[in-house]
Amino acid sequence: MTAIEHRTEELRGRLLVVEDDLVQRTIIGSIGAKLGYDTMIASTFEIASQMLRDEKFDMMTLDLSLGERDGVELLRLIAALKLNAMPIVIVSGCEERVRNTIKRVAAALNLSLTTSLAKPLNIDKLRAALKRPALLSAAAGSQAQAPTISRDRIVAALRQKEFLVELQPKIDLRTNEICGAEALARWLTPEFGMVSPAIFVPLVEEFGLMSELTHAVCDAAVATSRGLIQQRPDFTVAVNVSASDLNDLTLPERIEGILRTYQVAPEALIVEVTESIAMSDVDRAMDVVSRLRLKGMGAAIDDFGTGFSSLSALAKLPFSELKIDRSFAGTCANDKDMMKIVEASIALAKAFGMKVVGEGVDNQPTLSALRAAGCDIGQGYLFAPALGIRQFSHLMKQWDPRAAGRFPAFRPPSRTTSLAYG
Amino acid sequence: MTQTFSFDEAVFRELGSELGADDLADLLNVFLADTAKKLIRIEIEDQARAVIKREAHSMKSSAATFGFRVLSQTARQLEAGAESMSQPDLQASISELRQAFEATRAFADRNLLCDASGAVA
Repeated sequence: MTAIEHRTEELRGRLLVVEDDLVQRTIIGSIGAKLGYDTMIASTFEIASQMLRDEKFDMMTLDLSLGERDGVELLRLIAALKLNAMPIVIVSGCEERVRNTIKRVAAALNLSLTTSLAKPLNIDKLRAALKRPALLSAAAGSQAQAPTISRDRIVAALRQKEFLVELQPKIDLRTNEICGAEALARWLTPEFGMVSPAIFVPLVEEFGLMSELTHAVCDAAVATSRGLIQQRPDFTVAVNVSASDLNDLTLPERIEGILRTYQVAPEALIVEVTESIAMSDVDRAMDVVSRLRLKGMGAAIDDFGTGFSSLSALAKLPFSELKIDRSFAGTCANDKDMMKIVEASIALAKAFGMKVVGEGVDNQPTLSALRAAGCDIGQGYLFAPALGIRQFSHLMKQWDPRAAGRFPAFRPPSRTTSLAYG
Repeated sequence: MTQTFSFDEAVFRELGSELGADDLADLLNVFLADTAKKLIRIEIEDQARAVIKREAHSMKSSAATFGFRVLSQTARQLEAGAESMSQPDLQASISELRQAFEATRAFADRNLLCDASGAVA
């Protein structure tokens, strides 16, 4: 173990350099010290793990090959020590595919992997990585304590119509126009404020109230977007259904009933079924999806790529739209493997005559990559998060197709209630 | 006979501009000493192929950092073939690496270390 003191006025805290190669660690240590870090160097897995246990660091660089041991073992240890917030810069001579897989390992462990640098080191990139710990992976969000919610409370919420929807726009990537929205369930309570679907959906499942919730959310989605559909007859609104909804073979009739109540054409509604649900019972999915389509509604296979689709099942299910999961679409711009999956998914969808939606369009490179791959529709924070109907209408009015995606086209006004966007 | 030395001065200068002349000279000395040790390990009779591969891998990156092209390329070839080459080919590749290193060390002694500040200014 070696220590190098910072050599600047500006202090950046403590940097741990885990690197078994003498030359590389000397370079990284020297750059770190020049940037204002007190730098500690660990040349082996054992020294590094001891230092991580005993001391605190503000930044870490990690070589993936550490003699007999490897960097992935160290990533697991970092997760076990709950050092999820410490920015990690990977420095490795491994090929790009291996480095990309390790990025995914770090993301799965919820670690703050900021950059992955190839060897030989580009000193400019190293400096930039040590300077700006801008997180690539979703930072570990603070998990709010779930309030205790009884079955009766949810029954009352359904009766009092406390469930509502927010709309996230879907953008036609050919014209840059808003072509529709996905309706996302929200629960606004007097006592807890806005409750995240991550909290209430599992409870609703547990209490056996899923079909009631789906009904309430579909009703809210159609009621909320009715005005938009009247103005723009080609506008579509998408709703999500759960596994238990597919057990109810009357689902198509129930949704049709809602559409009739609000006098909305069935073509304006898309029912989203996740890939894993559709594939878990293909026969039921065939029954429900084909009847939704016969009634004129659209049907989308959601989170595509995360489940295990059998190609023959996919051929049997008459989906009209395929939504590529954000874990592929959102990372395809800087991950060649993901790009291949996206391209293959698009080719598959086109072969079956489906429209393709890319989820997780959060930045310009992702948008460009999806557009170049032939994706029809995009959805993501680059365009807008899920919005309440007033904000959404405002967005529609001031939408400029020439600006969409070139910069954040819309910044929602700050809100007082904290809200977990789904 | 294959080329034993080629130097990318721009890479070396860039490293120098980041590190400063003193650190660059220190680092170059560290590199030459460390690489000499690595070569000795590689040249040990019946050395495990995994060890040869690992040392060559590390030498490849470090040499490239300084702009020592031939040394880096020779190390890369050894790394790539370390586990599959026949014994004579392996020996040939190792002696090629030795030649590339000696040429690099001679060049560094002559041109880079006597006046490192001049070389990077």
